[in-house]
Amino acid sequence: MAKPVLIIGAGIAGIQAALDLAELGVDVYLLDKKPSIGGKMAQLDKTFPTLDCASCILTPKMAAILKYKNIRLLMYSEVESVVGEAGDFRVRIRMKPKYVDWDKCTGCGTCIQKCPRKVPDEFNLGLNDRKAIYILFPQAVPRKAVIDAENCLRLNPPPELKERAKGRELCGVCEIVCPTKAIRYDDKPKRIELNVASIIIATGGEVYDPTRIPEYGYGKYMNVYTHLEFERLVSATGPTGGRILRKSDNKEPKKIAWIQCVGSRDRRFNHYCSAFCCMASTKEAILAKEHVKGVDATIFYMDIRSFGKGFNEFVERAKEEFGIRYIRGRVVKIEEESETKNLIVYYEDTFESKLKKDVFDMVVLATAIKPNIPRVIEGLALDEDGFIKLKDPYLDPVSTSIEGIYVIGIAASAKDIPDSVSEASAAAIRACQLAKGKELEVLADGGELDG
Amino acid sequence: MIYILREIVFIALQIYIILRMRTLNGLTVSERLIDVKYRPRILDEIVRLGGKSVTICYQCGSCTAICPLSEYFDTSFRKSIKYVQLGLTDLINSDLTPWLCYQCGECNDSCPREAYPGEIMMALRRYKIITNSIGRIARIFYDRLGLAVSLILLSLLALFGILFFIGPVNISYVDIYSFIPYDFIHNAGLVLGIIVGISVIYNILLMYRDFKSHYITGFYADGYNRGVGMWLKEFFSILVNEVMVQRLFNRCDGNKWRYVAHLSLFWGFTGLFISTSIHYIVDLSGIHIDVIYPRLIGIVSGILLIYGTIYHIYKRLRRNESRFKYTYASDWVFLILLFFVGVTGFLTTIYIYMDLAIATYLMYGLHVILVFDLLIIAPFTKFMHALYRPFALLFYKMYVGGVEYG
Ligand SMILES: Cc1cc2nc3c(=O)[nH]c(=O)nc-3n(C[C@H](O)[C@H](O)[C@H](O)COP(=O)(O)OP(=O)(O)OC[C@H]3O[C@@H](n4cnc5c(N)ncnc54)[C@H](O)[C@@H]3O)c2cc1C
Ligand code: SF4
Ligand code: SF4
Ligand code: SF4
Ligand code: SF4
Repeated sequence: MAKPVLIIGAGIAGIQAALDLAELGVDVYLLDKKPSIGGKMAQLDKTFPTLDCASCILTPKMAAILKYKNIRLLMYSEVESVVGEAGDFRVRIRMKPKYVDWDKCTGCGTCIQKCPRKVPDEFNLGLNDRKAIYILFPQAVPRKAVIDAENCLRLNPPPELKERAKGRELCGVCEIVCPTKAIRYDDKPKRIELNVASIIIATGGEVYDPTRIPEYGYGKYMNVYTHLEFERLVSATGPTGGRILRKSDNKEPKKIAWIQCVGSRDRRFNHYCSAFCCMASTKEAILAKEHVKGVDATIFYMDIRSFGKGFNEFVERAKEEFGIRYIRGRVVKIEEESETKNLIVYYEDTFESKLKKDVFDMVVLATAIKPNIPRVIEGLALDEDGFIKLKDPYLDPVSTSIEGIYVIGIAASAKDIPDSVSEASAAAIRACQLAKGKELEVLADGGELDG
Repeated sequence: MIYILREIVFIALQIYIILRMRTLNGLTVSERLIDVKYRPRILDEIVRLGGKSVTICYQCGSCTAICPLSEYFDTSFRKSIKYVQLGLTDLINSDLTPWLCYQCGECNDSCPREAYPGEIMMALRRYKIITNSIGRIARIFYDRLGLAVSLILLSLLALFGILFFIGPVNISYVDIYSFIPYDFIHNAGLVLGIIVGISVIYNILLMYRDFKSHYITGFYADGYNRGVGMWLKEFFSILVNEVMVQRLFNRCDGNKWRYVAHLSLFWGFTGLFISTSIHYIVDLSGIHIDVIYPRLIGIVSGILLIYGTIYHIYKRLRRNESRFKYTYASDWVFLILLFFVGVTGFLTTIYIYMDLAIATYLMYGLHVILVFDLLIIAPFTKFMHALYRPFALLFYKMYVGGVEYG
């Protein structure tokens, strides 16, 4: 019997690898630390270079995951340790308590409506609030609720309320309203151990924290956003329902600037190029033009890296059809006008060799991407930029330093969705070979051709 | 016969051309990321003069945009770096931009490539000091060995001069002229002054020639014209604002102490020059004024000079601020000479007052030697920025344009 394969991280890369393996008849564990699969792509509005809606591509794939009997989801879980070797890894996994019985929960959302406790919504990067009991996003797969224990009044009551309650339990609203009685306040973390043939790491990455680059004033100036925040802002499922509104005055901006290579290609922060942000900003600028009539969209760049299929045409279209301004020059600092909260950007227009200042209503930082590394795997080598090191970037680009452990997507290097997906399929084949080891050997022996 | 001769000449020419190409190509394989196979000679020269990272600049323009001077002058530091990368020697020679830079170091901190653009500007100034000196003589002083040898030779020359002319020395009380005779010190001073003066003027003319020869439009900036009045007005404006109070320097830098130290250096040096000149004129013309006035100026200036040099030497030794990170040998020599000129001058004065004859003579002799060294190399080392810069500003304002002081 073929042994299963574990996929850590259920972004687009992990999802694609799971689907390919399942199709090949291999059992798959798909693990994610979040309560839903989808990863970064679920947070995007549209994708370059076709401007297809991201969820229109992603949602069918996420739904497909549920159809395969040989894919088991390990949501809200983390890997604790990995021992063994290719073909025989033993993996310890900690499943965080969800406080909701997922077998019973139907995802109706009644509990969410009634929950009194509001906290910043991390899926929308804190641009709005969610409840203490929540479903990660509307199209979540699986569409089940979890309680954020830290912020729940019942599970972690604030000290002053606890005192007044005098020993009585607080809140408990969700338990009362849940039609299927799915709430379990006494849920405990669970540990399981798996025996797998191979592991695929697809933990993706996180946007670099731009507060480390003080000259852009992110976090200090209200109308400076990261590109991921902007994606949420234009998304119909986002905090503003798809309207681009400034944090400072809830008005539509008339002039938006994108600043490229923020924290990327910069020796002071990250050396590498984040690979997708040139195209992502081009896409976002087009979206801005579509959302706000007559908006001025300007991209400050040093080189536009439009290397993929159809990418260059996409940039040309942005310039000619949508009238997006591309200015060659790095913005060196941003200042805020104290009354209007508009932003003054300083740069050298390198075509004119002149210092210029320009005022914008909103600035979007095309911030670098940093990989998520599962630190628990001993002996997993990293490269000098902090990504997982590839065994051979030319001929074996999905293998890590450990045999039988593969890496795909942004965990390996900054890349876009098409590249992540191709790597996923490549890694799926490699993992399949290990999972089906014995069977394939037999086939190879018997596969002699007649002379 | 003629045919064979012609062939030989042709072959010789070809060999010559091939050899020249080889040297031009240089082909230094750089370990840097942005590597150019064709390395123009000037690139290596700038690297040698301290612009070590000129090849890694990726032309983002942050240095121009952060520079406080870009608000006052229509200029681009990035472009000057591009000229070096491309080896456009003529344009580099005519480019006055490096002279505008005050070495405040802000660009070093905001360069995403850590290319230290401020250091590249500094290297370009050294390069310009060399190319704009008579017969490129300054290159001797930008070579460690050349610098050491020439300093030793100059000092020996001064020493022998003193030994040769040394008078019947009065040991019982201080009489400076019994040590170095009156005529000798004055005539030597005069000759030295003329040599230095001519070098300085000639160097500035060279700078002007280079600037004009490739200055692209060849016209005066908007609102400027050929009138002598215009030139004079700008000249005095720069003299007051940029030389005497150094307003842009002050604005350019958040750091008041560095401004004060730099101004002290300038006024210390100028003050000493003035007090010496007064002495000189007094002696020469026989007019009687109380020597206390020039001496007072001298003492105050000496203190300023010593303070300024100590500040700069200290900062350069600490190297923790990006603008003080790299110091070229010749910059050290200039600073150290200044410092010791100040110290020896001071000590001499003190010894005179204490009436210690031998100590005075020794200190004074040392002082004279150091002053001699300093003045001779001044037109060819860092000192010249004090004169190139105001003139560069003048030419820049007249031909390219610049903003008025608000
Ligand atoms: C603003 C922005 C716009 C973009 N626009 C486009 C676009 O238009 N077109 C395009 O092609 N690409 C675009 N991209 C790039 C695209 O998002 C990525 O290429 C893609 O999402 C990478 O997928 P992934 O699966 O490698 O990583 P992710 O999508 O990041 O998924 C990683 C998953 O792993 C989970 N995880 C992380 N660490 C652990 C752990 N330790 N244990 C368990 N689970 C873990 C995470 O919760 C997440 O679900 C954009 C990126 C950004 C930031
Ligand atoms: S009310 Fe119950 S069934 Fe409905 S989403 Fe909440 S936990 Fe699930
Ligand atoms: S117990 Fe109350 S606060 Fe906690 S999740 Fe349920 S409704 Fe929200
Ligand atoms: S993709 Fe573009 S914006 Fe992003 S780091 Fe690379 S060059 Fe800079
Ligand atoms: S800031 Fe650095 S990389 Fe950018 S143009 Fe100046 S020297 Fe070059």
